Amino acid sequence: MIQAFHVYKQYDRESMALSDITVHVEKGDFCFLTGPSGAGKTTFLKLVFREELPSQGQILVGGRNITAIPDGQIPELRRSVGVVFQDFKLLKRKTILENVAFVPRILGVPAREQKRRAFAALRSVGLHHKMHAYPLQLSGGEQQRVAIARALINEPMLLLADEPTGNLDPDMALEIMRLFLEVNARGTTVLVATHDREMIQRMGKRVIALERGRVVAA
Amino acid sequence: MLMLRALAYFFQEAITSLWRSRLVNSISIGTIAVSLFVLGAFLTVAGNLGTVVSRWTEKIQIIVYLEDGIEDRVRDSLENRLREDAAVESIELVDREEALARFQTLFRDLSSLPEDLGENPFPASLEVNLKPTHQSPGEVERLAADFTSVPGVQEIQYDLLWIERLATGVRLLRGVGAFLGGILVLAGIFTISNVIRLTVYAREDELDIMRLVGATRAYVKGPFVVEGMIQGGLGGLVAAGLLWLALRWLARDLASSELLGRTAFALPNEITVALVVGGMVVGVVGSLLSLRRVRV
Repeated sequence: MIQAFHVYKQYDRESMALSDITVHVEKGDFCFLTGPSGAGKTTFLKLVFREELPSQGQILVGGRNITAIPDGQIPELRRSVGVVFQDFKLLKRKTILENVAFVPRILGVPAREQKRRAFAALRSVGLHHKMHAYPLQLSGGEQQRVAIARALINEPMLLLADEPTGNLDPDMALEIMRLFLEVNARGTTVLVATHDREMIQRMGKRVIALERGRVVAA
Repeated sequence: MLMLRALAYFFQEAITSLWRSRLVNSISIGTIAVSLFVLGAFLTVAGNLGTVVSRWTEKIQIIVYLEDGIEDRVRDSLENRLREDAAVESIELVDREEALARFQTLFRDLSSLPEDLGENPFPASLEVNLKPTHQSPGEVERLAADFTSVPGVQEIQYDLLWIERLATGVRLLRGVGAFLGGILVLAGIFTISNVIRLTVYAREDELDIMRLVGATRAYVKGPFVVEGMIQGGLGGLVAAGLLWLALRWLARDLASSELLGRTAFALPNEITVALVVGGMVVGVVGSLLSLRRVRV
């Protein structure tokens, strides 16, 4: 699903954010990306959904070389990759149903279908009964589940999560991880960036460890 | 269908956003309105005066005053020469008695003047009308020059100079209007672009999310472009409304002026359309400028 070959990323002259990264994540895998703050986890995720371009090297996602696709095809790539962030990135002025329906809406899906899909996505994370609530009326764990529902609404082949449990207490974090396992069980490849070692040990999944921009274990 | 849904989405988002920050948006609509009002006012006044000038030009007459006691033979030959000129449409002879009669109808208060003088002071004249194709200042001057020294001619008079001056004035007015209006339109573009930039900053989260979930460039930028277009269009509409009011007010005060007539204060439909469409263009340009740096 993800194949990175000798990837380098340099933001400024002094420091290298990523150096010589070569990793493979198989289709259907569940994989953690770990390392201390500043190790390059977020940078690597940004390269995978083409928020950034590598300074050197090639990255293939779903068999497509995303370092070579033209700008016009980036939206198409992003629709096949769901992304979840530590700060949820929900729109506070919209209800959670509207937040999730926002994705099909900007893809030009008819209104009724937008609602149907958003409702189904919310049900899959167990929040359909709160669909008219606003993000700030929900707990952190619930907000993250809304963000996951939004990331899943396009039925992506790949789900990326950047410190998804960073703002949550351990119980809620575990709940979110269970949700990722379910998503993974339905066939979506999942890559979770986290520095929560306890969580990683508990889950017993494959771990890619980064340190100062280099892979130290994979 | 997809296109229509996209447009519907753009308009919904744009209108919501305009309403949400209505104060700031009214300021940018106001700026556009003022700029377009000034431009429109100059164009309208210049356009209307231009019409008046060309109407007057159509009536350009050359009056050939005849020498006192001119012999019929000399007058006939002068008339014939004039008739043969390619620029001349018609000639009317105004003899001394008719000139006096005209004077007396035009200036009733002075109708006793000839009696006071003891004689009729008005010379006979030939009123020469030009063919429509020859009604140019150059032609008038040429004709006047050709005939000044012809026997029997006392003097040639034509009202060209001040018409020419007026036409120059109109051109000047149009130039000043275009210049001032142009500067103000640039200011309008600048204002809209900054207001939209503020909106872009305020909605950065939303834009981020849109990019992340795979919205196309058009979907990300469309609502902002439509927002600018609506702002500019509303500004144009306000400008047209103000202009209409101003012209009505002027027309009421100056309606009695026969010389200018009411047409001088009408708001042509083309100007209204131009103001609204121009406003929209200004808005679109402004928002595109502010979106240049938005990543997609």
